[in-house]
Amino acid sequence: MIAEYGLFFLILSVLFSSIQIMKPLSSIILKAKYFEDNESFNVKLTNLIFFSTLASFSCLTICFLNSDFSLNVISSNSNSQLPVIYKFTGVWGNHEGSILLWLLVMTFFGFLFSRQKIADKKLKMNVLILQGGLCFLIGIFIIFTSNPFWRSFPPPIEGRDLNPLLQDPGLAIHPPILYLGYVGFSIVYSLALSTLIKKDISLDFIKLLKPWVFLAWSFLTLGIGLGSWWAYYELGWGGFWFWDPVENASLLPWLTGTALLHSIIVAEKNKKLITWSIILSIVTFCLSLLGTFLVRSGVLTSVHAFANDPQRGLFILILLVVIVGLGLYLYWRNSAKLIENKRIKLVSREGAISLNNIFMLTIAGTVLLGTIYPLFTEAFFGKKISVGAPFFNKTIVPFILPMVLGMAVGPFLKWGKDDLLRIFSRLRTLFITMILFSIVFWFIADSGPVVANLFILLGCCLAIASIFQLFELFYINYKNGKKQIFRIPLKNVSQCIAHLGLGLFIIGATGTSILKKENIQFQHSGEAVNINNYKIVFEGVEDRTGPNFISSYATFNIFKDNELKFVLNPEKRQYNMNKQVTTEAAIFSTFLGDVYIAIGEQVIKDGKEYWTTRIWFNSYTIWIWIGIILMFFGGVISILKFLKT
Amino acid sequence: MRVLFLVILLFGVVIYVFINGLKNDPKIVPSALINESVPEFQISKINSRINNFSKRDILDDKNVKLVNIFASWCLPCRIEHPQLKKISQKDISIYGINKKDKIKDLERWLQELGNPFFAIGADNTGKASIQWGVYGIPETFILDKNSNIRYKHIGPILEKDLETINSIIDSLRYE
Repeated sequence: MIAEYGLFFLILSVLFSSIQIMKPLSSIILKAKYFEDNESFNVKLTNLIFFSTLASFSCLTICFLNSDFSLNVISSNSNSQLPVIYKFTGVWGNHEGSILLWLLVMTFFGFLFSRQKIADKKLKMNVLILQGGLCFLIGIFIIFTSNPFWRSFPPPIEGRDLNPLLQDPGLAIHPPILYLGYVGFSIVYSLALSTLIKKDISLDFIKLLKPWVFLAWSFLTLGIGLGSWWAYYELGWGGFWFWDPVENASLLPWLTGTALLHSIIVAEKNKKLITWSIILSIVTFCLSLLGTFLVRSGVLTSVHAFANDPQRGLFILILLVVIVGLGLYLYWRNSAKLIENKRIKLVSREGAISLNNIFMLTIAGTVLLGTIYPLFTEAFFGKKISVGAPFFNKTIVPFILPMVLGMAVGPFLKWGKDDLLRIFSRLRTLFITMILFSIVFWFIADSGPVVANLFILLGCCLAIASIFQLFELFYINYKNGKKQIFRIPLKNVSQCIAHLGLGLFIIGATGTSILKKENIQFQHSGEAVNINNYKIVFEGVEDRTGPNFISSYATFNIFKDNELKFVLNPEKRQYNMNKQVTTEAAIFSTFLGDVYIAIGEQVIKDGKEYWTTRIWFNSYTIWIWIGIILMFFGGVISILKFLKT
Repeated sequence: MRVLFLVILLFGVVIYVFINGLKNDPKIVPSALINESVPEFQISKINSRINNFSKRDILDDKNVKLVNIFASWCLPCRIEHPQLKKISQKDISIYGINKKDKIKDLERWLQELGNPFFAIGADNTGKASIQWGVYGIPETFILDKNSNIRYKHIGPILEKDLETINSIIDSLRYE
């Protein structure tokens, strides 16, 4: 019965959102106004849409917790042996439930937006209507192609279990966080379109847009980071980013979102790049949808092995055409009235930010091309190819160098116009510190590849510049005789922390991808392997049973200077229900790098038991996660500012 | 206006490519070995009507033949087995490459399900499977009279696939 309530609430939500779009549709189609402008009516509807979706989602959750196997999604994605926490996260561990979560997040953002006090009633109304329209489209997508409340008869006695790879805390919270990012851009899209409809850009628009961009960006950053972290320790491949189509799909809106984040700063400051920000708002949300299309239709092979469902793919494609089409149409109709013609000097703050935008979009274009190129070759040449890491590394890495240098110096530039020579004299302390650091670094760095050292140095310089910037702000306060030296504008703190985060991220990413050391061997118990000053002794494997799996549980003692430092226990788990085997790598992190161990198969040779063991030393990996967390907090700090006002 | 036209054109091409992409299954990957001769490999024979099992033996066989990679631990292979038996009744040699299996399990499997194979080689290390470009079992190759690989079937041969397989075998026989 609960499932039927769930479906009822879902239909109710779609009905409410259809009422939301009735007014503009009727005035467009019938050329007459049947409804009066009434902003509080739209607000109420938005609340109703949100609460009915919430009710529907709760019903699905209850069904999952009760293990109601008569529902198709639950019998194929859950199991009575499953720990309660994974029964709960199993709600979004499948296509139907995750799209319902997407809808829930979207309606939630609409709800949040409706609570905001906005002077411009017309704009607010339009945003709510557009948001309602988006909810309507997603809603009918769920009902017609991915209904989670579909019953099967006769109901199976036992479920087929949640994909073991998803039975993991990192991945359990990854989808909701990522969706907060993806879907957060829907509000950004609606706001941009509403402004185009209004044909008049006031600064209010940028002020309204800003917190949403920061919110969506922060969660997208954290979501991608979580996914990457999961891939690092769960897949057992020893890397953190594989340029998989689905990973790329989440990176694309992040790149354009980052560009947007910077361009609205210019827009707010001196009214330049406003139309550009509108384009970026539209593009970013469209790329989020494109990502959904690529993931959900299964047109590309990926580690995210989802079912191949052309019908769903076609529906999302129609959605994409409608949403992109509407954006393009409104932009084409109304942007001419908004065109601003203000030139931007290269050597200035806005020049640096424009440079960032150019880099971000170039990278985004390259990633997009690489990701969908296999589809092109198949459509036009009938050839199956796959574009892998070498393409992305070769095309994207060269951009990093000038981009990061720009990032390090950009924040010190003045708005409007600056002079390169004057910057050098103003920042001489910084440059001297950097050069001294570089010289010292070059001498103590191990004899790794030059590229690696160069990029690590680059990351360090960015980090130094960001910290230097903070201290400079403190110093200015001190010089001006302010009592509270540490009181500096939140936006500067936010920017410094985020840039520092990226600097640390570059160090980690370089170390992990270039400097890593890898040993693969057959080991019998008692045998030792040396890697990066660590002596790793394999102590053997024992069988253990978990709640819903059997595990081969290995023990490795790790010594440094003949002193036992720590014990690592990588596992190989076989899940009872679907016999799938997962690798649980064991990782010990230090600030200089991770010892990462995964075990493979057992081999019996000459009556002796050997195991395939893979032992990595991944340099500086921890800085990737620290960097991502800093970037996330950088974004969140900016939101705090808006919450205050 | 020109820019708008370009944008719409580009957008249209992308959408066309996506719709086209929906029709294709990305999981089907053509074998690089199609129209190539038998790859170099050498494995020890088990349960065989011939003495050895390597590239040479397949080249010596001047008929149309099948090479099937299977294992007793592979559940889809069990589903495939009845179809292999039907194909073998068409008087065609099926060469089995038995991947990473235990000989006892294999014998029990053949006793239980019957033996449609002309010869079976034991690929204990998995090396031969790699040389054949196998990435998941079962996989089946159809070879013509000159031992060139002409067709690759990925996954179990199901009842519905028999028609395709048989028609390919027939057309190769009349070449």
